[in-house]
Amino acid sequence: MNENDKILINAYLDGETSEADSKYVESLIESSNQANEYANKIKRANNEINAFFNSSDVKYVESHTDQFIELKTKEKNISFFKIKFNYIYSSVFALSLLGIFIYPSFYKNNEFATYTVPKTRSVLSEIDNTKIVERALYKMIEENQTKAKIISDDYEQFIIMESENSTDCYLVTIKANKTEDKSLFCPKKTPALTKVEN
Amino acid sequence: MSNFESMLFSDSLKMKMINLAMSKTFNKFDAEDLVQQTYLKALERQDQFKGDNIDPWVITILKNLFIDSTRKKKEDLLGDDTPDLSTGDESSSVLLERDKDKCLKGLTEKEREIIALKQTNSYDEIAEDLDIKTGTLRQMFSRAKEKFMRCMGFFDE
Repeated sequence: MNENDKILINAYLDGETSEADSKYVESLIESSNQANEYANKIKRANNEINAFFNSSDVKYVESHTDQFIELKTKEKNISFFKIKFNYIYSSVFALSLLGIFIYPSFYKNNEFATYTVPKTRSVLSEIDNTKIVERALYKMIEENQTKAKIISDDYEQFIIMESENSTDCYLVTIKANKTEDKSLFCPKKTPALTKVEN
Repeated sequence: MSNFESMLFSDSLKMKMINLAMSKTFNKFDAEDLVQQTYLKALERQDQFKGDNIDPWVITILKNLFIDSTRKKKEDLLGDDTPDLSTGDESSSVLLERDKDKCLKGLTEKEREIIALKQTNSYDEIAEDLDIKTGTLRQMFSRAKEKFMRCMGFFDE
């Protein structure tokens, strides 16, 4: 079996050979033990690689990408959305500046794990703050933290993970300036974070 | 939706981008960011797109953004979610997963790109997207798989 045979076996198993080449590979695999073993190893490699691209991580990215696309197409359809959103975002910015001065001293920074959202993600934070909170929550579980502070460019949020219930979900409180929301965080579900009505 | 947006938000391009992003970042959060930043950049620069096949253009944007984000990686205080390979006491299936990741990381960027794109595309389509001749692509596939198999220890059995 030469290099060209290996290339042909690979292409054959990828379904990328002509009829004539396919017949050649089939007879090679049948007549040569070496070629047969090589083909089996390629099949194993293909299985491993396919498993990587069919993992739950890829499904996670796919589902979040679908949500993003839906949001972007909706954004296009609502003509005043951008102006309205910018207005809201400016208000949040102004409130957060105010918050720096009036936020209760109860939240001492050293009690909280601090996560900083890099500037490269600031565009995304405008679109979906939930995602930033979700990421911090995954990180908190990984690092065994119950309290965290998220700092984006001009915005601070505090997360307190209060309890874990029997369904692998956590009750979390998210505080930002004067707002306080309770949500349920279920790391294994999509979406992982759902708001709980007060 | 405009013609540009229909092409940009097509299912086939979406899966190409997701697989490519996963093959580069090995991390679902970074992959998600990379895909979404690519969409935003493509929308921002849609006037610059000329032609009828948007895929190679978008793939180039994704690859450039990944290079930029790798440069900025140190600023990312949310950290690298890639598991630490040195910690012990784990099940064999977890170790196998990590071996697989390590072996995929051992391939060149180009090799990972063709493997990622093969998940949804034919050799001819990949050759067009990455501007590679089909013959060269066949050789690359063969070498990449062999490298992967060696790394996974398939030849030691």
